[in-house]
Amino acid sequence: MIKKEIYDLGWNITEASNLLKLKLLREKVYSFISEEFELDEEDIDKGLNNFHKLVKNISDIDLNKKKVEVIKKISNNLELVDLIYQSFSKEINFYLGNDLLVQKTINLVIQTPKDQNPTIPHRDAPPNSFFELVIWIPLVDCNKTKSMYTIDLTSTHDGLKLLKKEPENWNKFLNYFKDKKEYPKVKFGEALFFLPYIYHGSDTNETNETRFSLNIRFKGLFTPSGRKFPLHFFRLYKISEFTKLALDKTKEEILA
Amino acid sequence: MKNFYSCVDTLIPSPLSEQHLIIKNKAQKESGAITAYASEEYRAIASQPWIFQKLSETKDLDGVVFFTANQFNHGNNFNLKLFNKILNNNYEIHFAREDLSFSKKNINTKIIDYLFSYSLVIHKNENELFDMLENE
Repeated sequence: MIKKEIYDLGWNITEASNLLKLKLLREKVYSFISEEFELDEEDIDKGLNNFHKLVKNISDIDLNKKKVEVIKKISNNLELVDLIYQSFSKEINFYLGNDLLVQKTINLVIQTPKDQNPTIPHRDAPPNSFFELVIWIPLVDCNKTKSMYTIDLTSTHDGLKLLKKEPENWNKFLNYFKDKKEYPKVKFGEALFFLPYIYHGSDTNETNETRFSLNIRFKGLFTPSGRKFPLHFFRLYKISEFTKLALDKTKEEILA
Repeated sequence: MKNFYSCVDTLIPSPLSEQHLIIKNKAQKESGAITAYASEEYRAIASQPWIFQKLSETKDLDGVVFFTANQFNHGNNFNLKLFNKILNNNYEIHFAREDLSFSKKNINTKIIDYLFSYSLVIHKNENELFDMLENE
């Protein structure tokens, strides 16, 4: 069932409409990871959650190199984008319709326990279009600090108002969000859908499991752009027959 | 080795050297080099009258590398006439910033549809939409 809290909070947890595709997506991502890091663990859930234990003998430099290799393999993989879409197509179409752009790259985030590089509260920069939908897909069950956090629409609005009043007081602005953070409990099989204009981020992962998550953005073809150069950031993913016909007719008129 | 014309965008506040560098990289990626340089007169960028003439007048060119596809959007519509004319005369078109390439034999209609739809969006008069909402 499609939930609509997104309009009140700026985010919601959405179940995959096609779990088999999501499982296939995770299998494929794990195959890149296990190949690169030479993991023997066949149980995907264990392999991902215990990743930090399985790679403890790899030096930090090699670990980073391997992470970069995995990210490269995943970020431009069109098959994985298809699997993301197929996993949540019903929900994506519900929010955005049938003429869709998709971010050219998939982002993979690996957050091991105690990793000291969390993400401070932010909105994406340069500012994204308000018409985008961000989809955050954990490949393992996430809760507490293993998850990302969100700041709801009202708190984001109030925080930004505070910053506008005192633009030099950055700490006051950040502190305002401290007790407004919510760490959505998102299981594998679900995704966090959120609006690009709410504040979000991650804290140090204080659990004893690694988080692997993907994120990607979809947007309606005929919606206004943000400051990210759209022809560079997005590609056309899907177009309805109706729109295709209308575009062809418009071209015909221009060329006449 | 292919020979390409380099055509910068005269409207964006980016130094020409910066644009040329990105254009040069794209030319190399497409197994070629930049052998001629130019930019449209900014008073005529909507119709881009000059680029095809230069392509025809310059010998042994395989195509043109534009800095960005947005150069076709400076008029009221995506300049499809010029786009088609360049391709139909067997020249290649490359857009450096977006890393897109077209030739008569390699026309990706999905990408053209995106460029064209983007053009419709940026030329849309948002005020009309607001007027409509207000009058509802």
